[in-house]
Amino acid sequence: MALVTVRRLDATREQALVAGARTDPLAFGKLYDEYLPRIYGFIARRVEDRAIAEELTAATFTRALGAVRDDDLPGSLGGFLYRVAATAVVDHARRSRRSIPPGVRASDLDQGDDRRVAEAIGSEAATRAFAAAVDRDVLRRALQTIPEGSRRVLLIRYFDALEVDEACAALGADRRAFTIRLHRALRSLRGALEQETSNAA
Amino acid sequence: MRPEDVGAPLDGPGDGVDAPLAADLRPLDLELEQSGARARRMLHGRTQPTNYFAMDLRARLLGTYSGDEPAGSATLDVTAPRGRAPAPKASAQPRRSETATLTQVMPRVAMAAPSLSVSARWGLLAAAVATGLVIVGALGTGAIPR
Repeated sequence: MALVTVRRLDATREQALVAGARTDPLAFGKLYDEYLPRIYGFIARRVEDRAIAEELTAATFTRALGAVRDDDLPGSLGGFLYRVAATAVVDHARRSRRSIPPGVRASDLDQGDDRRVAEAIGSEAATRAFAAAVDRDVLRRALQTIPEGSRRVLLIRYFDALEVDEACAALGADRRAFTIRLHRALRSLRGALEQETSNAA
Repeated sequence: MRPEDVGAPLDGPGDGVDAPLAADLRPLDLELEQSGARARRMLHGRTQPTNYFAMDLRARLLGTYSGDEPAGSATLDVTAPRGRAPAPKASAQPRRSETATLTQVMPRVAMAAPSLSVSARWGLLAAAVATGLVIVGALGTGAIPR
């Protein structure tokens, strides 16, 4: 499984830019130019309204800038950005379900399976778009039947094509856990595919 | 993720990190990769930020370094439709980090400014009305033969 992909910005170079960006706007500008298209794309694949996608992207980069300037960045900048972006999408889904006052953290009001439902809503658009690009009808249907957690892993891996570290950050998992989840998701999908195929026969 | 996921044995070979995929899953892996690439191509236009947004957000973020007012306005004028472009501020000065952008922008912003002041427009309108009244009056009194 080709989980290791080529980094678009060399890790050493990125670390130097992050260190410089504490005080140097040009350094942050370079990081911004590198990550904006990728982070915006990640959000826009899940939020179909352009204005909302821009709002969530702006919030993500504002948060990242604060972390960079406060020297409070846990891990890589890319991983941090994807983690914040993924959280922003789920929070937006929470706010779309019910009114949450500004300034209140949406997750603080979660009850029961609110988080799971919000995550499902947050990946609805991505699931639709990904499924639309799948050639085989049975595979398309199988994608809809697997558990939401498995579908999220597959979307991150195949639809977003994130690098491993970024995928781990977006899912809140370490590398080993991510690999295990990916294997399980593929097995789950293969089982659903076999079921759909036998149903169609 | 469930807590028991961490440290659980894989169902394929490898140590759990970048492990090769089990042979029976490879065709599915390949099909999903191809589908993902196709989906990204299909959505490409919709998932790219506009230049307007990219420049505006960049200016706002970098503007926080100098503690300036968010720098969005100068950048917004670059790509906003001309009819909506506000008149430039006379006192606007480029920041050091944005010199190149502002140098290109300012002439275009200046061209978007109205060519006549508001008071001059009203003066012209008043003169046109007065001329019309004089002509109507002259026609009415017979000063101008019909």
